[in-house]
Amino acid sequence: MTEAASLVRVTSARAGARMQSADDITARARRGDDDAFRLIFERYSRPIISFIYDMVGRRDLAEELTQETFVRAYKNLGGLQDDAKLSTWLFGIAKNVARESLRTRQRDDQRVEIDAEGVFELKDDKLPPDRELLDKELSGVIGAALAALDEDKRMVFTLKIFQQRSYEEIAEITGFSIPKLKTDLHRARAEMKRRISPYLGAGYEV
Amino acid sequence: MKCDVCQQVLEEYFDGELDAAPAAEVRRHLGICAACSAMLAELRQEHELFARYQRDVEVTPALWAGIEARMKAEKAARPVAPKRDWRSWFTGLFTMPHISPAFAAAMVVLAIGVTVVVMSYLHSRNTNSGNPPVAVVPPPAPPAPQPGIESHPDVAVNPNKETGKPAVVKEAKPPLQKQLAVSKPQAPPDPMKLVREAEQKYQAAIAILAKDVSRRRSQIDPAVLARFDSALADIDRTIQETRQIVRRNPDDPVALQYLLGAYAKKVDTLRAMTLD
Repeated sequence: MTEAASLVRVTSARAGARMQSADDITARARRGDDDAFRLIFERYSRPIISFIYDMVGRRDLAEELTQETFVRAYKNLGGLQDDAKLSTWLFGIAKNVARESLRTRQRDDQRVEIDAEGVFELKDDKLPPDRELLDKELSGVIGAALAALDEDKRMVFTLKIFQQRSYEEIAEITGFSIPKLKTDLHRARAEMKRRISPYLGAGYEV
Repeated sequence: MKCDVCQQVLEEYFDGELDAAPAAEVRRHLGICAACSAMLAELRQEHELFARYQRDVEVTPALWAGIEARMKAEKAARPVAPKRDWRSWFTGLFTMPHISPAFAAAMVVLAIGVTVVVMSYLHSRNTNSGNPPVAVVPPPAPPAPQPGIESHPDVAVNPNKETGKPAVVKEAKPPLQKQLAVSKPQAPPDPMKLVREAEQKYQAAIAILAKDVSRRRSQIDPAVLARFDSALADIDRTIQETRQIVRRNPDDPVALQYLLGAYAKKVDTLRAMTLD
């Protein structure tokens, strides 16, 4: 057996053990083990807060809504029927929480704004900036472009592009049909592409 | 495969969502078509840019601390087996998890019954404002019953002017509010007590239905669930606000109507989810 093959086997075994323990952790959390719930938080808090941030566009609100998501998950763990779907289930709760917040803000006549510090205008005569500055600038542009998408498209785009969810998982999380989410994703990609197009040319590649 | 067909499914191919056979066809076409290959390369480049997106947000220790505090509060708020008197035992019957939504529906019927009684009573009090309840002060002697005219339901025995003997008058079923007044002439019902009873019945029914919905949450379409949660939050707000108004104005039948109406709405909403 080659060294590479052996490494793959060991890695797969560890991944399998991790998967098994994830289900076990969920079962323990459901039985009221708060330490197990903390492990769930540690595992999923980063993708959940990122998703919520992409949806609502504000850091303080994203933190608040992530807290609400995990508290709801804690209260309703008994409703989770398939431990293997914990992640999809959590995203579903996060989606509900984010949507409720967006509805409230719409009622308050507020607009979704991204906390993007220094969203720079790209000028034709500007020299390509260095990597760090470019990434900051690019992040500002992507954030602003996300905020300009309508809610459904933003949700589908975020789940696919940033959270790497399958179409089937996105359908479960959002409740959208596969044809609808495909259409939304295609349109979101087109809109996002238009907005980041200045970065797609030569000279901005890394 | 033609270019237009390939381009239609190119994103799905890139996302790894195509089945094996069409994916193989796309792969073959990309091998011989420069235009479609360029499109795929562009898609890849876009994704490389998206991968560099940095969010101004992170998971802080304070976030878990906030969640942990709320978990503790949630645990503390969970009821521990209380010492029960007969009343709480009876109420507890309706909140037991094995009781079906159908039973909850029966509870709602009861609650509606109490609502009708309360509403009728308050309405009668309002329309007779200043007048004491009929049964407390005897009304002036009514005229002798005329054929074809139903006698006054409040007076079962009417002294006959000529004979002086009691004339048996046809006993009609009195209206609901008067039944109430007649049944307890010395102590007119406390509207707030009746309101509380109606509330308890609604709450018992709501608890049963909510438990059923809670069990089924993971099976419910997430979009429907979002609308349901939002509607329920609105209804809860209405209940809270109207309850405060009713507490301040216990004799206001309109406020009461709104409160019990909000409860009924909540029951309907929950019931719709259990039947979904």
